[in-house]
Amino acid sequence: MRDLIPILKTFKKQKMAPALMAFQIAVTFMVLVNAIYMIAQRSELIARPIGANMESTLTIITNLPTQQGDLTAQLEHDLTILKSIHGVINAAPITGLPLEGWGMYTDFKLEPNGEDVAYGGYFGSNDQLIDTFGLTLVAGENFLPSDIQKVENDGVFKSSKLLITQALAKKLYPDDWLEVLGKNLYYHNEPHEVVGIVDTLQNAWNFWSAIEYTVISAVQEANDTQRYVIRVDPAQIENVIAVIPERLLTHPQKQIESIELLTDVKMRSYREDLATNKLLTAVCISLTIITVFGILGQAKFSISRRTKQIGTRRALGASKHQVISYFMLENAIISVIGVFIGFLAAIILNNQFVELLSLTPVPINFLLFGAIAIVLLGQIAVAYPVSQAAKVSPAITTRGA
Amino acid sequence: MYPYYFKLALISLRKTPMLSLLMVMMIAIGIGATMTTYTVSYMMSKDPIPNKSAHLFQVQLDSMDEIYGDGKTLPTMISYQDAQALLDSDVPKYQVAIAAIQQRVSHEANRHLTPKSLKVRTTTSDFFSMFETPFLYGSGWSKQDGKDAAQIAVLSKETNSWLFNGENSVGKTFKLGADTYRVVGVLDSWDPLPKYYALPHTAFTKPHDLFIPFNTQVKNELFSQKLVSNYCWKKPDDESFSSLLTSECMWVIFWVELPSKKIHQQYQSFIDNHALVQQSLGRFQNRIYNKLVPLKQYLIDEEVVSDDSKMAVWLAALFLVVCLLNCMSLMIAKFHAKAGEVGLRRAIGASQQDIIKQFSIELSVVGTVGGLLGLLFAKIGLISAANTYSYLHSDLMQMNAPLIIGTVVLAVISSLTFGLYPIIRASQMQPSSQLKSL
Repeated sequence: MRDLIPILKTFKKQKMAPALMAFQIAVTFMVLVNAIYMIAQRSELIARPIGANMESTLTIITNLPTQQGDLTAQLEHDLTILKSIHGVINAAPITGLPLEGWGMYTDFKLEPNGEDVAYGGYFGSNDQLIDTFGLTLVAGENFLPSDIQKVENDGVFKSSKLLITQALAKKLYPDDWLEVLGKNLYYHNEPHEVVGIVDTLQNAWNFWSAIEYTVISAVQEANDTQRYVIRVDPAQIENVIAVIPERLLTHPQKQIESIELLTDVKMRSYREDLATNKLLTAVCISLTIITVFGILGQAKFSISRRTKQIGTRRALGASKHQVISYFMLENAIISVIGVFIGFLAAIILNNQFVELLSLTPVPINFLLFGAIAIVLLGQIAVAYPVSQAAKVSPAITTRGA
Repeated sequence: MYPYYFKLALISLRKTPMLSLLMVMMIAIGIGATMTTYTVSYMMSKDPIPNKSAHLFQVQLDSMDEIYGDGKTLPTMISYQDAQALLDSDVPKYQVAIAAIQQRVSHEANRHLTPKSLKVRTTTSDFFSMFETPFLYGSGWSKQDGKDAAQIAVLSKETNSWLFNGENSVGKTFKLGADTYRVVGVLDSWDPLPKYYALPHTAFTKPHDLFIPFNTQVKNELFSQKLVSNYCWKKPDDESFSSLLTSECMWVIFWVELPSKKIHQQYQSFIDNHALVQQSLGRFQNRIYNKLVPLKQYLIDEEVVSDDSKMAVWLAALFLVVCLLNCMSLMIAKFHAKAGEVGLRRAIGASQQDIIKQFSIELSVVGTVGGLLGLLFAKIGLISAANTYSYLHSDLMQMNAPLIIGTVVLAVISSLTFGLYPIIRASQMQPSSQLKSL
C-alpha cells in the first residue's frame, strides 16, 4: 500500500492516459451493467410458465367452411377424429391460443352496473380443456358436460359458468381469493358464475400486464377459423403431427393453417425478445473483449515507457513481487475511479435513459456486483503485461545514458 | 504540401504496422456496430411516402359511450356504419376504408395448381391512387365498380406469377372462396416500408396478396377476425354478419388525403358534424372528439419503431465511444513514440500548424480505412441481423447511399475529434528537449 502515494503522483504528471482508461472503464461499466440487467429481465419474462403443459400440447388451426353445413357438427366431427388418432390423449376446442398474439380480452365487473375491477384475456372451451392443457385446479370444480353451451361465433357475449386463474382471483379478492368461488363475474352485461380456480394460464399477449388474468368460459364456440389443442403422448408427437393432415382433411375445402407444439407458439411470441437478447449478448461480449485489449495495450505502453524506472527500482532492491503489486495497484485505482464515474453517470443519466427507452432502473446490488466484476476484469487484463514488467533486468540501468 | 504529408502518413503507418492495424480495427469495429443498428432503426423510421405524408391522415372517431383508455387516445379503427357515412363525403381528395380477409384462392381451370389460403386486402377504389401503387398491367377498379360490389380484384406481382405465370392476366378470372372474380389490375413490386396504412404490428411485413372492393367483402359476408383488429365495446344484437355491420364494433381503418389546410378544416367540420348528427340519434354519447392523425404522428403514436431498436442504437453509440477512447490511447502511445521525429522537424523549421496538419492527415487516413472496413463489418452485421430478426422485412437490413457515405464521414470525423488532443500535445513538443538526447 505504500505505493499509493507514488502512483497518485504519477497520475498528476501523466493525466491523460489514465483518465482515458478510467473514462473507458466508466462507459463499459455503464453499458455492461445495463445490458446484462436487460438480458436478465427478458429471460425472467420468457421463463414465466405458460400454465399449460408445453411439451405435450399440440395446437391446430384449421377452418370450418360454412358450405359444409352446421359448424358445431363439423367441430364435433373434428374432435372425434383427433381423439381417435393413436398417441392423442385428449382434445379440446378453444377460441384462442396462449401467447398467440391474437385473442379476445374483456373488462370484468363484480356488480351488473358496477365499476370495472379488472381486465383479462378470454378463452371459450369445454370441460376437456383442463385435462388437455394439464392445468391444476386449485379450488372449486371443473365444468360439468351439462354446463357446456355450443354456439357459432361470439361466445364471449353469452352468460356461462367460468373458470378463472388464481392471479385473477387474487386481483378480484385480495384478502381471501377463495371468496370468488360461486360469485358472479360480469362482462358484456352478462353474469358468469365462477365454479373453479386454476393455478396459471397465460392469455394471448406476452407484453400485457394482465397476461395471467385469464378466464375460461363454458362456451364451446365454432368459428370459420377453428383452433384445437390436443394432449399428445410425448413419444408419439412426430407421428401425430404426420397423421393429423391425412385424417382431418376430409374434403377439398378443409384446410390446416398450422400444427404446432405450444413450445413453438411461445418461442414465436418471444422471438423479438430472444433476438434482442442475442444482440445484447453480442454487445456485451465484444465490449468486454475490446476493453480487455484496451487495458492490456495501455498497461503495456505505460510499462514500456517506464522500463528504465522499473530497472532502477529493481537495482535499488525492489523485489519482483513489489513491481507486480505496484502495477496491479495502479490498474485497480484506475478501474475504481472509472467504475465510480460510471456509477455516478448511471445514477444521473438513469432517469433520462429510463424515460427515453422505457427501461427499468438497474437495482443497486446489481451495480455493486458489476463494479466488482469490472475491477477484477481489469486485474486479469494487466496480469500478463505486468508479469513481463517483473522480468525487467536491474542491469538495464547500467546501459545507455 | 498535402501529397507530401500523405506520403509521410503512409510511411509512418507502415513503420508501426501492429499499432496502425489496431487503430484501424478499433474504429472499424465501433463504426460497424453503430452503423448496423443505426441502419435498422433508420430504415424503420424513414418516411414511407415522402411526397405526400404531410397530407395523409387517419380518421379516429370517439363513437363510444365510455372513455377509452386514458381518454386521450382513440381506437385506430372506426365502425362500419361510420365508415360508410364518411365515404359519402366529397371533401377529401382521396379517402380509403381498409379491412382484410383470409380466403382460399384457386385457378379455375388448372387443377394442378394447389389452392392457397391468401390474405386479401379489402378496400375502396381510391386506395391505389392515394398510396401510389405501381401497376404492371391494368389499373384499380372504378368508383362505380367499388360501390356496386363487383367481383373484381387487383393482384400483387407474386400472386400473379403464381396464379397466371406472370402473364398479363387482366380480364382473366379465378376463384376466391366459392366465387369467381375477374382481374382488373396487377401491381408491380410494391413494398412500402413501414407498411403504414394497416395495423401497426404488421408494419414490417409485405402487403397482402390481392385486393378486392370493400363492398364486395360486405356483400359476400366475409370476415376474418384474425386479420383485423375488432374492438366491440358494446355487444352486437346477435351473431349474424348483418348485426356486425349495424353494431358499434370498430374494425375499419380509414385514411384520407387532405391536400390543403382549408380542406383539412372543412373535413374536420364534416366529421364533427357527422358526430353531432349521430349524437342526436343516440350514438357518440361520450363527447364530440374526432381526430385526424397525420401519418407521421400515427407512426410515432403506434410506436412503429420499437424501443429495442432505439436502445440498440444507443448501446452501439456507447460502444463506438469505447472503441474511440481506446483508439485515443493508442494515438497517444503512437505520437509519444514519434517525439524524436517531431523535435527534429520542429528544429529545422516546421511550425506547430505543420505538425498538426501532418498528423491530421495521418489520422484521416486511419479514419478512412477504418470507415471502409467498418462498412464491411456493418454489411456482415446486417446479414447476421437479417438472420436474427428473420421475421422483419429484409429491406430494413440494407444500407442506402447516404448511409454508406455517412459511415465513412462519421469514421473520419470521430477519429479526428478523438485525435485532436493527442495531436495538439504532440505539436506542442519543445524541439530542444528531444534534440538533446539525439
